[in-house]
Formats: sequence, structure tokens, C-alpha cells
Amino acid sequence: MIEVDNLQKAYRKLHAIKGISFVVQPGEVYGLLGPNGAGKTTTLRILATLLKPTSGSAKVAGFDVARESLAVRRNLGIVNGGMKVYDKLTGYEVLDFFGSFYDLWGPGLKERIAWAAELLHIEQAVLSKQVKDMSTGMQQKIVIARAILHQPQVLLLDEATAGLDVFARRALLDFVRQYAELGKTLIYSTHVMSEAEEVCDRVGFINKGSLVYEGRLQEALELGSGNLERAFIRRLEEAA
Amino acid sequence: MKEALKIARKELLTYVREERILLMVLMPLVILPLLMNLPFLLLGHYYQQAENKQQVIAIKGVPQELQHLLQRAKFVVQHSQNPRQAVQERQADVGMVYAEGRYTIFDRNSILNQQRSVATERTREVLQQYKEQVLLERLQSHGLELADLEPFAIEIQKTISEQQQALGLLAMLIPFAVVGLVISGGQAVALEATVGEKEKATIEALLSAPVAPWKLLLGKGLAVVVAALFSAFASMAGFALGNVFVRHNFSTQIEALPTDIRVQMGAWALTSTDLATIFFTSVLFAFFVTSVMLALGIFARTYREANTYLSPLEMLMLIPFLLFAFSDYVQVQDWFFAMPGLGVVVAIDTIVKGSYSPWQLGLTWASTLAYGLLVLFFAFRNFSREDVVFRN
Repeated sequence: MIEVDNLQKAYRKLHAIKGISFVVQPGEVYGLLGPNGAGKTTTLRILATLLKPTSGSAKVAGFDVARESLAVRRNLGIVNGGMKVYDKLTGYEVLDFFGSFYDLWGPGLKERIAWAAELLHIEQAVLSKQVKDMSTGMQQKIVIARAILHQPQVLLLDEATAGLDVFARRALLDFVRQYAELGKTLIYSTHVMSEAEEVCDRVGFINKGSLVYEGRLQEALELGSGNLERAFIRRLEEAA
Repeated sequence: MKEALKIARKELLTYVREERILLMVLMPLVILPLLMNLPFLLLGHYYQQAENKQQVIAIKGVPQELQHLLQRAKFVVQHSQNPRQAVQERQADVGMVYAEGRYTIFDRNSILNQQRSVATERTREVLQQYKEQVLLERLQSHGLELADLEPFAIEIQKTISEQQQALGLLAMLIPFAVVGLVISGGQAVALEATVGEKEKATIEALLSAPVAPWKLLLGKGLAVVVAALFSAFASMAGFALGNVFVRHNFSTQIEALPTDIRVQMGAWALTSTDLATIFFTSVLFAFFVTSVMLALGIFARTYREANTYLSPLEMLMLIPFLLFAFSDYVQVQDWFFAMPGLGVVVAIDTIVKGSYSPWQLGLTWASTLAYGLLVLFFAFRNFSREDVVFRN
């Protein structure tokens, strides 16, 4: 579960997030939608304890992001479009490296790697290649595998399909639904509305650091006469 | 702790798989021993060849008696109207003219070469022998001996330690090599582990893992210290093994060298206690240097920026080397041992010379540790600050 309450983040004169609040329940995919620079990445980075909030609070899996950062990280996985893993290591070494931080060792780790590889359609032979020798899509799959290896309660995906080809993108979208069905909490942040339409249960529109709309996907679609992009533009225009 | 070890392992694995970086570390291992020994070997070979070769001397006005002495010294004596020209045109190895009570020797070596040629040296020796012979004859005609001209003997002895004498050039090179290679050996790993994570966009994945910042710093620091020490001590091993190998396999060439050059070449004469003391000093220095590199590396946004910060620091590190070059003229004070960088160079120098005092060594160890901890504090602060880690 994710609970965000009046969260704010300011960098000197810039207010990146201006008091947003929302809750995401287990088994739910929450679409955090907004244009570039709206505050999506900052919000997710705060939830991942990479940034500290200026004020307000947020809880991930019951742990406070400001005070219990290590506990939050143990229960969370994050993927963003620009994220990379060590290109000189093999896929297996990358997963072994990150798995060890979640007390995954030996047979337990191997089991988890096999599970993640199956879920993301990664062939075993690919895991023995160095990351630099993999395709962009496969590299992104390793990034995702790293984030889900410990089967976190909460998974944050930020523009996670960036740079993926059509097959890898499809595999990722399928994975998002499957992972939510396991009772996990997901935030899917994107500016590609068609993806959000496909995977999200609820959506929140964020613009200039403020949450301007929140509701079930079906309600949002109705707002835009069956089109999420239209709903998004309409809501942003109303808020302006 | 296991997280820190895992991070250190990852950094080192990345490091050894980077061909360019590995080359930078392995090069000194091969190049330094080669640079140390090859000139001596070539010189020895040259001297040996020159000694075995029958050398041609072009002479003018030289008395018969001296000509016989030259022939006995294996010279081929060639009469010439212009010995200087004969040497210039390479018709003779050396030239000699006697006129108006003065012997002039024509040396073949260029003005840039401070050493006289082997032929010149041998000619001078023969001439000296002839001079003594003439002198003796004259003295004897007056009922005197050569010893009557020397009422006392003069002897100059170097006061440097036996160990320093035995080490020769190595005594001078070891402090430079250790300090220089600790800096250069650790730098590549430190930058890869800090600004490299930023440039390659891997830092977010790492920071989102449940690892405390101090463990991150410890893991990365361990990798840098290991790489720095490996670089320095691999080169030391290279020096030692290269020296032993050359002395064992090329003893003839080394024997052919003049004594002063042979002394310069030196031999590996450090005891295991010296090595352990140098190692401990280097570990502390590596800790200090690693802290500096990590603090700056994580602050920088790009490799270029990191290099901009590190280059002036490396220039600063040259100051100890410059001061050290004047060590024969500067009285080493206790406070030298407490200066960052300089203290380590001076301390290793005294260990190598076998003249260190526990107080001075302790001063270097304590001050280097203190500087290291101080900079480590800044490195830790930088690792914990989001405005530094996500600075772009």
C-alpha cells in the first residue's frame, strides 16, 4: 500500500511538488500521468527514498519514507526509463549483486532469478552475457528483473517502456497486470496515455507539481468521451 | 559488512573487465622494471663490447715508449697528420697529440654525453701509467720514491646507510613509485565507482537498494584501496623481480659496468620489516587518497568535471616530489612528516634508507589517518546528500 499525504518538494525557488495526496491499494495499478516536468519522477523518487520531501508525508508498505528509508527500500522496487545496470557484468551477476542486498543467496537466489526470467521472458543463455552485449530491450528487462527480484510489495514504474521495441513493451505491459494480480501495489507513471489505458485501475493527472484529477480509469475515460488523452487535456485546461 | 564486500567485488569485477584500465595497471608492472634495468644492461653490453674490441688510436708526436704501452693495452696505433679529424671521421676511436709538453686526447662522444668514451678512458689510464713511469724515473734519479710525493692519503666516504648504498637508484625511486602509483592506480576505480555511476545512469538502481550510505562508501572505498595498493606493490614486485632476474641472467654485462654505474643500478635490499612498514604506510596513504577521490568523484557530474578537480590535486601532489629532489640540501624537519603527501614520501624515504625514527613514522601514520578520516567525513556527507548525488 502507498499513502501520500500533502507531499511537497522544493528545490531552492522551484516547487516541484505542491502538496499532493493519494492512496494506492494492494493489487491496484495507479497511473500517475502528466507531461514532462510535471513532478512524476520527483514523486516516485521520494517514494523510493532517493529524495527527501520538503514537507508532508508518504508511507510505502506501512513504512515512512523519511524516517524508515531502509525498510521502505526492502519493500520496494523502482524502474525508470533512463535507469541502467552495470554493463561490464553479466545479467546473472547483476541479479546476484542486487539480490544479495535482499538476503537472497544460493538456491533461493537462483530460484528468484528463474522466476523473474520466466515472468519477463528472459532466456537463460542471455543471463550469461555481459549487459553491454544485450539489446536495449533486454537490458531494460534486466533492470526490471533487478527491481522485482525480491518480490517487493510496491513497484514503481516510471516511463519504463522508454526505448523498448514493440515485443519488449508488450511483455512489460503484460507483466504489470500479472504482478498486480499477485496482490502487489504498483504505480505506473507515463506520458503515453494508451499504455495507461491498458494497465491502470485508477489514474491521477499531475501537472506543474499538483494533482489535478484522480479517479477510476473508467471515470477518466468517460470524462474524455472514451479517450484518456482527451480527458487529460480537458482536465488540465480546466485546472489552468 | 557483506553488502560492502559485495559492492567492492562488483567494483573490482568491473575494473578488471575494463581492458583500458587493466592495461594502465599492468603497464607499470612491465614498463618500470624494464626502464630501471634496460639502460644498465645496454650500457653493460656496450662496455663489454668496447673492452673486448681492439680500439684504434690516431696519434701524432707520441713517444715510442708510450706507443708500446698503448699497444700493450690492446690499442691499434695509427699515425695520423690530424688525429682530431680521424676521430671525427670515425677512422679512429680516440685521438692523441703530444705537443709542447701537453698530451691532448680527442674524445668521440657528443657534447651532450657527459660520459667519456671507453677508448678515451683507457687512453687516459695508459697515459696516467706512462706519467707515473716517467715521474718515477725522474724521482729515482734524485734518490726519491713516488711515495715521497704523497705525505698522506685522502679518502672520501659516503655517510649514507649501507642499505641505501645497496639499493642505489631504487632507494630514490621507491618513495616516488609507491606514492605515484597509489594515486594513479586508485583513480580509475574511484571515478568509475562514483561519477561513472552517474554518467552511466546506474546510481539510481544502486541507491534504491537497501544499503546504508556508509556501507556503499565502505564497499567502494575498499575497491579503490585494493586497486591502488595492487598497482603500487605490483610495481614494487616488478622492481624486485626485474632486478633479481637481471642480476642472475646478465651478470657478465653488469660486471662490465664501471663501479659507480654498477652502484647506481643497485640491488633489492629491503628487509621484510621494511616492506611491512612501507605497506602499512601505503595503506594509510591509500585510505587518504581514496577518501579524496570518492568525495570529489561523487560531487562531480561528469568524468571531465571530476578530472578537472583531480588534476590540480595531482599537481599539488607533485610538490612533495619537488621538495624531495632537494632533500640533500634541505634539513628534514619533524613537521615534514605530518604534511599530507609529503609526510608519506619522506617517511617511505627514511624507511628505504634505514634511518627512520618511530616518532617520525608515527607522526606520518597519525596525520595521514587523521586527514583520511576528515576527508572521509566529507565523502560520507556527499554520498548522503541528494543535491550532490542527483546533481546535474
